[in-house]
Amino acid sequence: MAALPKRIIKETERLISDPVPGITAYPDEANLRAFTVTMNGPDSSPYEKGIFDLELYLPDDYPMCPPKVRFLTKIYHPNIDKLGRICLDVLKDNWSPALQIRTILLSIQALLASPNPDDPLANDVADDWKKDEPKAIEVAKEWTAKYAKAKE
Amino acid sequence: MSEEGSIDYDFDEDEASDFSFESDYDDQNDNMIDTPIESPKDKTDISKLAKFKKWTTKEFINENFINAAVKLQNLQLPQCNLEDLLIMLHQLKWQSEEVINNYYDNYDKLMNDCGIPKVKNNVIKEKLEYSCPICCEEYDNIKTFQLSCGHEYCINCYHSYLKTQLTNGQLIRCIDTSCNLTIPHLLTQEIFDLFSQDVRDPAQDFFEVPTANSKYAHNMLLSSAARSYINSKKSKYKWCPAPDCENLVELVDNYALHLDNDDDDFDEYLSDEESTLLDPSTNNVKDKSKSPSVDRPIDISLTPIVSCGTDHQFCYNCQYENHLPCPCNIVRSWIKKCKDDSETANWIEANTHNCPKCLNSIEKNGGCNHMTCRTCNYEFCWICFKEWSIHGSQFFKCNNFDKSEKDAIELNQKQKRVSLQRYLHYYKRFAVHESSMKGDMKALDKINQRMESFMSEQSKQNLSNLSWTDVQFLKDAFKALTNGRKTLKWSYCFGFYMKELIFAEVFEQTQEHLNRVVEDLSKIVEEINDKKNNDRSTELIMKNKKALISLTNAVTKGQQSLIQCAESGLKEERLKFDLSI
Repeated sequence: MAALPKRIIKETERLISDPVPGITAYPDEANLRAFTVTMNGPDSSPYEKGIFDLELYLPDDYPMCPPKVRFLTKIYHPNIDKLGRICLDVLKDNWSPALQIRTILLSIQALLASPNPDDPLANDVADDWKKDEPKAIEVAKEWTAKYAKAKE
Repeated sequence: MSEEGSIDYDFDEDEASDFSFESDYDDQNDNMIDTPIESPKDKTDISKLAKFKKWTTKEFINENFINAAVKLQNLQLPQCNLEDLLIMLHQLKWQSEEVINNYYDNYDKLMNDCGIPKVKNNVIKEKLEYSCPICCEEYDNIKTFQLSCGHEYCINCYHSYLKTQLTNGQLIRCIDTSCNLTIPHLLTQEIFDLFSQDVRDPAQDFFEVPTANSKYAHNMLLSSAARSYINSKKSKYKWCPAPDCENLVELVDNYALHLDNDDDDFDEYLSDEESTLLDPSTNNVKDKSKSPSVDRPIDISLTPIVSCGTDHQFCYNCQYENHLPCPCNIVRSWIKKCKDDSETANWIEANTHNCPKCLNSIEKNGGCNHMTCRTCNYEFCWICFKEWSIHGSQFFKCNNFDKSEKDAIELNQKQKRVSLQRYLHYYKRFAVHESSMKGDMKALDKINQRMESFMSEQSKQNLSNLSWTDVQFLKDAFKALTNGRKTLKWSYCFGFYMKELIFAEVFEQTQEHLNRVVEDLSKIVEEINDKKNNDRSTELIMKNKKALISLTNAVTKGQQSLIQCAESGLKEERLKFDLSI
């Protein structure tokens, strides 16, 4: 494998020495471009108290191309589909090499705090969300309790 | 060689010129070879229906992007510089009026959207020590780049950034996400050029008076913008489908539309209905209110065959090579059929035999010649296809070969497979001409190279006073051969769908004639290229000059005759298609 770019080394070091509150990200030993991420559900959101697992991968042309991020934990959210794929502008067109892993993870956490059913990825969830928001929030809470429990 | 021998070759290759469609079979008052058809007098020309303009990508950029900016500067907005105007045009999808309107109505917003600062200070610096926040490398000696915002990054990162951004054809902004400033077109190219391998001749730049167009020549951002602009207007612009050709053709005017829709917005109609309106095979060119009637004769002279700046002819409607004599709808169903059937059919044809009793296809993948059909349990011999029992105990010998009986069996097979056979008959010929065309092209390329080196040798030694016009016949032969093959190729598609009417025989004779002259021409080309004749190829070329010229003529005429034969036959309904095949 080609040598790891300095940028990735620096970002990794900082993620470990100065982690973002409520988020952990550790590189795999076998592949330093692959990260295992956990994210706390933001307070006063339906995902509160949940701990979500994600995977993050830095492609070869990172940072010119955005990292690939996916939820591993099941989650009921209009912008995250069954496979855990996330619809977020900074992961696509609005990516810039000036952004970092930590900023991306923070953006995802912010997406949990404010779902956007008008630009949906999971159409059925977005439909529920628009028709009956309180009920959708209830479902999201149930899923959080069921799938995103803190491990003992 | 006579004038009418050339097919659309007389376009000026260097300029984007307006051209009306010029069909390659206009000259019907010549002596047609083997064609007992009189030219129809009421021939409709496609130029009455539509007008096309050909562009190279470069011309397109010059005219629609750079000259648009120059024009704005000269006429409406002299206070702006060219770079800013290009950015504004790019931002507003190259609509000059939009730029003018926004400039006067909403100046601040326009400048903000375009990322043009009031004071400009874009710099490429040389730094002795620099640590780049993007790649995190620490450099001892590096160039950096920053826009007026002062967001500074190393030139390597900027270069990679530009490369990835280039693909979407949009304006490229500062790397910093909170910053909206745009990198001007010239600067993007300047950064690319820093990394470019090929060094431009400074002498050339010295003698060339820099014009707006030359400054922006080879600008990669503008090329990418052109690609995305053209791709977004699919009904108005079509790329030439020839491999590696970067030319395009624009539908300038669709008269057929104007006839019916004088008051309607041309562009709006184009996007929705252009394809059917330009499709002669649907026959609703002039009458779109009525549903296309199946019984109306097809007029293939309405097929919008256009030619790009490098003489590649193609059908604007199908965006496919010149498929005359076939009308567009026949081409569509042929291509679909070939996609669906040809692979499977070819395999079955090559690898299986039918059971002589139930006619199921059987693949023999090993074992002896004593076959038992899995479907009907019939036991037979794989060699003579007769019942196995008559072989007695002679397991590995078959003495029962009888020519006439075998023929009878084959006839039976053929009857059962008639549709497949028929298809394969035409498909094979279609495919043979396609592959021969590729072979011919290679051969002619070689000949051309040899001829060139011969010519330069001759002129060096002052041996001959041959000029390039004297060997023009080679180029003509090349074009005639490829065009002839193309027409032949499609004539087999035509033949496949053709109903068996009496006039079909005339078509087939004309086809046969073209076949013969094409093969004759191809043979000479092959002979010249034969390795055995390597030393005397130029000698052979000059020796065969006369034959080449006359065959070139014959091929061109034969091609015209065939298309004309199809055209008049269809128009007078002496030829008909059966799409149910």
